[in-house]
Amino acid sequence: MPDSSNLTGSRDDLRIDRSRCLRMRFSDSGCRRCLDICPNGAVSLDDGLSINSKQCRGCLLCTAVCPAGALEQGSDFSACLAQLSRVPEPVLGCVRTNECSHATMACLGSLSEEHLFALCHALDGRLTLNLSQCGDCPNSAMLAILAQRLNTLSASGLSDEGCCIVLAESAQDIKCRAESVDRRSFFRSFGKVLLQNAAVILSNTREQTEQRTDYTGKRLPMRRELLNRTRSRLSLELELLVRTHFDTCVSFDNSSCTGCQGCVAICPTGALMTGVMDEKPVFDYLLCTGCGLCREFCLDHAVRVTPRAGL
Amino acid sequence: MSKQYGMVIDLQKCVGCGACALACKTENNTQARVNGQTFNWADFIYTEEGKFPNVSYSTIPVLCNHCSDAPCVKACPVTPKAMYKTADGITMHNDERCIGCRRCQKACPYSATDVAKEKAEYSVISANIGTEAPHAASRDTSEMIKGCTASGAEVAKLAGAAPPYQNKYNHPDYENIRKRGVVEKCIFCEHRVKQGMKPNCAEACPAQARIFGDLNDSASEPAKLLKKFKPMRLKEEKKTNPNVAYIRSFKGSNKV
Repeated sequence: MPDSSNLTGSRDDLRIDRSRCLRMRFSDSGCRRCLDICPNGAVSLDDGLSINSKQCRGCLLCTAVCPAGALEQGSDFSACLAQLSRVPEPVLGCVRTNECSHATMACLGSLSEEHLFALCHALDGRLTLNLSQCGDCPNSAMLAILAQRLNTLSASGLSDEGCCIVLAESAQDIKCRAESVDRRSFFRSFGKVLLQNAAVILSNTREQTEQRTDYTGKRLPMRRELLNRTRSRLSLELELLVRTHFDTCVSFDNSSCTGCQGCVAICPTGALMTGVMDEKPVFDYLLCTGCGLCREFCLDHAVRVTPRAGL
Repeated sequence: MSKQYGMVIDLQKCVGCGACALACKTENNTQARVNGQTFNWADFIYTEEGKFPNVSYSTIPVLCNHCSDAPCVKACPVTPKAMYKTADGITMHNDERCIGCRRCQKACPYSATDVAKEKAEYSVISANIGTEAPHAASRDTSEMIKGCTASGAEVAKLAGAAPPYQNKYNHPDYENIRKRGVVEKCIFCEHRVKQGMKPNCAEACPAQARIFGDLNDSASEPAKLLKKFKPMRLKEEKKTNPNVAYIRSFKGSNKV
């Protein structure tokens, strides 16, 4: 067994797209989500977004909070999801625990609420998150945050219908069985894999690995894309819960909005679009991550960012 | 002292022939007027005054003033700024970083966000707004003569050449064919200046009314002219320190 005591998620899994960063797009933006969550002080926002690769340990916690997709994980989560769905009681691990996991991510710190929600509704039965090696890992700060995220989900009722996600911090709790290969389960998992892969292909045809979007370009962050893909096959009840928990509503003050379309330009995800020139923009909640950059940017204080009501 | 490129325009030499504007259009592939945007990096203020028979008609060529305290640069929200000052004092624009918010256009005292609405005579900064991609002619793939020839863009692509109506310059900051959603403005033909040439408007002026050079170099021609004649600058009260100056006006206190 290789010595995994110093192994952590690697900085190579962090995909940086500076043109998406709210601070890079608008120098007066107050966004400091990545700075606040980074346990290693690797993020600097003084002169635009930069990550100190010496201090970064690749916990990817920042990728789960960046609202614009400036910091994202490089590995393909859909593939991970497909691997897990092949097994009845899957275990998801990281680079330290890949011997006893069915699928791995660089670090489970990258599991955002959207990821957990997607896992919850893409799998059935029981999903174990293998945290057995986290205790002595330099990235152990993610443990509490991950538990918190899972709690938030269940508190909002978003994990009620789906599979049960178990955080397993000791090795005894982890039962990692090899993929069973009886006839029935083979066809069942085969069907599932086909479906998952089709979804992956469909979602990937639009854009390949785009590392550097130009500033005028709009790109939906992977997390939001994942959420939109997950929600497309949910019950109405659950959809309503998703709306209250994840969706944002951007509205405009009719009297003060001059229709300058500045917010349309600054929006990193393309949630705001020009309908009629010189009139207030058109808003698409599916493309909005609620980053609030439009509100910060508007000179006329005409933008309101509020949670989207359930109905 | 570092360079500060600037331009002196001799109004008694200028007859308003428009050669500078045409030269600019061909050099910089600027579009025709659309959506309240002029795309005239080189433009004019025409003034008709008086009552017959005591009438006057005057022309003032206008372009980006490449201000030393440029409000457009201050207004640019992006890091690093998409509108910025180069080391030699040119106000430059980077197409890749520009998000098209048009803060620069709002901030610039010489610009209008919509020339038609604001009844502005000119606008230094123009924005590629609208739903169609700009420079339709350079993208057009329809046949030039139906059933007979390919499109200009296709022929040029196959030949590895630029279409006859397009000047190709290779500059890391800006593209000869602009994309939708970015602003554009006079860049003092930085790609030419870098190679020791004059901006194309100054080159084309048949009367040599446009004199370009380093204003900080006292031996340069524009610096000498500024010393010799009392210069006038547009909207000096805005305190932007414009680097385009006008000398020898036919009227008023500037008359020599």
